[in-house]
Amino acid sequence: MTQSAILPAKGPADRLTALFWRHPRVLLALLLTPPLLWLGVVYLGSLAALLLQSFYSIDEFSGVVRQEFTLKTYGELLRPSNFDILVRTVSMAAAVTLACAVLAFPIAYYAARYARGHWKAAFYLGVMLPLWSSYLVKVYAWKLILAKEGILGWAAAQTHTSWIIDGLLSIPGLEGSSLSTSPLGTFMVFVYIWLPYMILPMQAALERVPNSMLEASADLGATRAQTFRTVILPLALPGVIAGSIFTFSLTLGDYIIPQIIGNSANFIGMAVYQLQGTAGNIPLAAAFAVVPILIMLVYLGLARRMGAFDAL
Amino acid sequence: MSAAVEFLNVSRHFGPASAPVKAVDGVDLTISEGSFFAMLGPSGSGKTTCLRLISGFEKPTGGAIRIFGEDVSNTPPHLRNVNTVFQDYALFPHMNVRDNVAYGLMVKGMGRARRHARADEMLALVKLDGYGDRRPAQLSGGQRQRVALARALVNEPRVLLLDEPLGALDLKLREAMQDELKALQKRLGLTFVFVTHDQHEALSMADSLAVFNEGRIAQIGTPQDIYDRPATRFVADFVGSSNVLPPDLTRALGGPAEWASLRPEATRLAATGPLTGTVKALRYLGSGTRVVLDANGTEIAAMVPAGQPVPAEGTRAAIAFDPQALHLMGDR
Repeated sequence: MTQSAILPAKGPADRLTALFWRHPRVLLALLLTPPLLWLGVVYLGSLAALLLQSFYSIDEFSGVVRQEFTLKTYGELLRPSNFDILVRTVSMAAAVTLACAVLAFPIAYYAARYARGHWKAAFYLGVMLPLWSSYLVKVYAWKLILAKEGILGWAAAQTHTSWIIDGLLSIPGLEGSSLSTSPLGTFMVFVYIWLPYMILPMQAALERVPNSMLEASADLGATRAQTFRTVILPLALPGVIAGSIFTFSLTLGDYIIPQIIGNSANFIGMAVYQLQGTAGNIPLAAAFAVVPILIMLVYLGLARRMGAFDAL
Repeated sequence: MSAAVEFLNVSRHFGPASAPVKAVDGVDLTISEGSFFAMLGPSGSGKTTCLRLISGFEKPTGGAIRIFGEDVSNTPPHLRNVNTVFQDYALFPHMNVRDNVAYGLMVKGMGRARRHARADEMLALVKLDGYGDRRPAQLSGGQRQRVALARALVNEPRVLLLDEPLGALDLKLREAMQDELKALQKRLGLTFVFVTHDQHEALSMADSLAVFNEGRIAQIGTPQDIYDRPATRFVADFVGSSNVLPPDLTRALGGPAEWASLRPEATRLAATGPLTGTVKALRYLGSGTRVVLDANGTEIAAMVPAGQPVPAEGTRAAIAFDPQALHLMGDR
């Protein structure tokens, strides 16, 4: 039996596939419309609304939002009490990011270059497991760990190393009756909570650095430190930047950790929460919320200029 | 001529001592200074491990390695005055070509202006003048290969190691690079150690070569030695496309009852001869046609030079050969 060169269409799926083959743009449009709507309307639209709000101001007597464009609200950000919040939040975010990068690098390096088989699975599980449990549970658990009668204080007392904690708590700016009421405690919990977001992109970046590149560096006479500085770090930098975007922006926006742990000093997230809730000052809340976005844009611009993405 | 590299009963075993994987097993080897030395073998034969033992990326589990008379057992790669051209070139993607070539000088602390001048000289040596500002990703495979070569030569190593450097290139480019590498080696008078699984490449480029099999050296010699007088059945089979004759067939062809090799190009087809068979397969090679005869179940290949009549498949033909071409190998 001879068969025709063209097979008969078996049903609507065959006809649809043929339609897509003849008009590839139809398929593209069908696939892209939902995500573009989501991204355009829900993400960017709400962001634009936020930006718009920040250029309004509030009438101090009636508490009503005046829908006229003004930079007055941004001017309020520069008032000492508000500016303090910005400086405090940005310094905390920078410190947390730096600490996360330093802690994450060896872990990510081990996972990328040495861990195989079961050890690799154990690594992923170890990094991901804390992400699966509730954020609040973890933060409250840390409050107990860091409390004066907590396990950390107890262990320090047992090993006669309480002087270390006491010494740290007497440093100006880090004062507190215990770690759980000191900015140091806030810092530690931030680092713990966001660390996985630094490890995973770093590990992905390090995994893409071929072994032969490290061997080539050694072969050409480089010491381990030189190889690290001139080959590993530049090649892993996109991963470090990706991780730092997570840790930095998550710290900038968080309002729960500084409420539960630390000395209750305000952070941007807490200020936004209070301003749009109890105070009803939406424009100032919006102006506060714009600050992290601007900081991230400047940060990315600097990273790009420094050549962080050249290896991509 | 002094020895550039010496292997003294060198072994490199992997895995547990009870059941080791013997990547390199008891290798003795001398590579003389200024020679173009090839390490030839199938994949997994230990040739690349031997190269990595010279560069220091592998440590021997037994024996000693000397480079220009000095024992390098305790010398890490960055302190060995040898450089490597890697199989995948391993160019640094975040640096331009000039910085790639100058890398070895940079880590030694040479100033920017001087090392860039040196790098440009090296780029001129490999005929890449003017490419210094490009990124490796903007170069073709052949150009990347040259950058890797320039980068390895800029440190003025005493031995240059090349790990299948031409494997990723297409045939025409590969042949051009073979000639260039050979010319470069002559000009610099440097010792080149070249790893390849391509027998034609090894035979055409090397002054002497070692054929590896299962972690051991099957034979060391000049290309001529290895091609004409293979020491073992493995060498005869792997280097070129020789006929490996079992003892009974050697005797049928008029020799003693031992293993022998017979080059197809030393044979010709005749009307009568000591051995007749059925033409089983023909392969046209341009310079001639390779004819495979089936002689009572044993296959034997002969070459018919271009311009001479080629028998049809399925017809009977006899093989004649120059008795001197029959190379006896004992029972190895």
